[in-house]
Amino acid sequence: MALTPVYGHEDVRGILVAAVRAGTLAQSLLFHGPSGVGKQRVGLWLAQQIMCESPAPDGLACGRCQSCRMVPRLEHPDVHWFFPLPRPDAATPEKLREKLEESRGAELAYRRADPFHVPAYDRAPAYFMGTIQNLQRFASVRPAMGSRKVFVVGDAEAMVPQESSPEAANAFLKLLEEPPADTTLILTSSSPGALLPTIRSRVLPVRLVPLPAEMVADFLEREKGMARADAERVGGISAGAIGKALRLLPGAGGAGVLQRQREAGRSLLQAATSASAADRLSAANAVAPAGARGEFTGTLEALSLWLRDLMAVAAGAPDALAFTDDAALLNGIVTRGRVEAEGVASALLRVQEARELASGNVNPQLIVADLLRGIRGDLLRAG
Amino acid sequence: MRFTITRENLQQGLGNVAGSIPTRTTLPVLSNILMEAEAEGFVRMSGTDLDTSVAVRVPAEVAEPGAITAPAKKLQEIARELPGTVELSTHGDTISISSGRTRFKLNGLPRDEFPAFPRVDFTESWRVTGAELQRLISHVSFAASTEETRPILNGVLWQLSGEEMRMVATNGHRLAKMTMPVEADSPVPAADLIVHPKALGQVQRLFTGDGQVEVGRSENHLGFRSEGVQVYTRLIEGPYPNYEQVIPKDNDKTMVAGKEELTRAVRRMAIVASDQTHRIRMSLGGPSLKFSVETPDLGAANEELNVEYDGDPLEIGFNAQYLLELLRYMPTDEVRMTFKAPERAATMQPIGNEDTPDYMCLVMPLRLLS
Repeated sequence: MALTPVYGHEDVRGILVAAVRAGTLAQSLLFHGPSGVGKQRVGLWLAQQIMCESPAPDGLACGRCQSCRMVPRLEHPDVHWFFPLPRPDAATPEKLREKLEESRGAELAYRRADPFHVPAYDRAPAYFMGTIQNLQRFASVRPAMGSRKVFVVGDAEAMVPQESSPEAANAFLKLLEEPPADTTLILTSSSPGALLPTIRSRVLPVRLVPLPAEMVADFLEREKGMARADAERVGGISAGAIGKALRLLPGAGGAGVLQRQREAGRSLLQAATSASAADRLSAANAVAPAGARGEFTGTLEALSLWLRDLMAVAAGAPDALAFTDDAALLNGIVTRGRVEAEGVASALLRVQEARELASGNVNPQLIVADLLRGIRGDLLRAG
Repeated sequence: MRFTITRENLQQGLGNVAGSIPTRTTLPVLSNILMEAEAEGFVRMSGTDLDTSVAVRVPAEVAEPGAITAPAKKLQEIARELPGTVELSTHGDTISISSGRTRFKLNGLPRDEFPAFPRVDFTESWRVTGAELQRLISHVSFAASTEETRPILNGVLWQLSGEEMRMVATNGHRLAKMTMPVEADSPVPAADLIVHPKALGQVQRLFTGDGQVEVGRSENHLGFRSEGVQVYTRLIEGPYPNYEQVIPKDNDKTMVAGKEELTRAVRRMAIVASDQTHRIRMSLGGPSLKFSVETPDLGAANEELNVEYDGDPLEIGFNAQYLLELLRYMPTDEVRMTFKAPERAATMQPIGNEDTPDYMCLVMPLRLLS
């Protein structure tokens, strides 16, 4: 199956394709912008523009040649899509490299089979030395079919911090310093500030902005076949990011990851508003003590959404609910605890702080214990 | 597509292509083999791992031309078990294979999912015999690096200049180099081509004997072709490091020794050499070569060998494994080694060979502790 078409970003795409046809496209680019706005998708789109064998008169890829058919199916031998992956168990660096390439292959197979695939990993994904060595190997040979090679390196910020080895970023830097002439590198990142300054200084930054909410709704309606009303509701809370919208849908990411996270978020909210401190502590205890950067981040994101809906109820705007099914529960919390919108706003900020702690790999149990106590204080201030 | 083919031809075709089919790949279609039935009574079978592509033409009775890709491994297993002549036909993406009273149906993939084969221009090609290619490759490609830190050294440099061609490979510690005259209709344009040893392995396997092989190149690929067989390989990005500057030109000490005796002595010394450095010491002076090795916590060994040596006394250390490796590829009974100083590169060459007039290996010494 092919990737879904690109929505939005017309201005940036116009500039990029003009640069491709004029032969002035920078060799190394950095697409940055909020998570889920389609940076990697635009990267792959640009790869297709570069690879097209007979561009149309307006400069756009023809969409018919072999290259144009292969890129969106993720099958072009000269377009390499890299993304962070969890560390496989491997005894030697060689084995690690092999296994990383295998799991990249498996992940690509999922993405080929399901264009809406949202990856979910048990361990925090990152870039390892082995990943970069695999990438370097592809870069060190001439193109197999076309006249250029394109690398789309998604979530490039995952190359730097704790989980990845610092050597990975430095090895990548080596490639950025002397890329082979026939190679285009497209990095993407939602937190470009986390990239090594030495990497940042070697790439041309291109900012991708959030899409209008209607465009996200259009995507969900046309590509995902959602009812217009539902599509609009999800589009409205997606912050202009199709990737985010897809992650919000129930069942996205395979085995109901989002549903599961939503359940986990509900438990946390209930524990936070419970009268008993024991409930809050046992909720904290129920969270896995490790893997803060893995699924736990998703749980926190789900909790934010619960709070968002709670805010809608507390502010007397129940028609703005993203998930109407749970209105009764939220009404109960608001009435019982005399919750005010202002309190919910502070609670949301608290979740934001917790997410930052999680990205620093703080023990999730500690984060939750502290977070729930704080949220209770915020919400029940009036009570 | 429909054709009839003998089991032997089918097996041979598949066997020749199989070496280029990757066992693991991120592109599913690469585990397939492309079969194209041509009207003039041949079937072309192709496989690729994107680094090396192999295409062979085998005779078949073609009833209906066409093309399909089929899972290579399964097809090979089926071909092995079939009783006799094979009829192969396609219906959409389904491949029917029948032989005697056996019938198979395999799911194929359409031809256009298969990556386009490299286009190599053979108009400016040069010619070598299979045997010459064998000689070049087998004497040189062993020296290429297997470490991933510098991908370029994983390749073998094939240098063309006017009337000769030369292969060079090195891992930074030892180097092998061989030159041969080249035959072409017009002078071959000078070029530095960097080829992966795995591809050269395919070339060695598929082109043997005195048959002529035509070699041509494109921007990104190198192509080899003879009657019925084509091999294409993707070039490695250059430029190759300047190896000329490490080849010593003023080595003034020469030693001549029997290859067998030298090999046996080094092998014995290697037993007690350190597992990490494999360092052994050579002391040259007068007509003898003294080996010694001393490894703390393990033990020591020494041995003396009669050699011809004409220079000042010299103490030099080497990695025994590198010496053994070079000796293994020396084609003659006697070898010549030249030295300059303990920290300078030494060379090794065969003596008295006609097949490999310009064959030279180089090995860097190891620093001696005392």
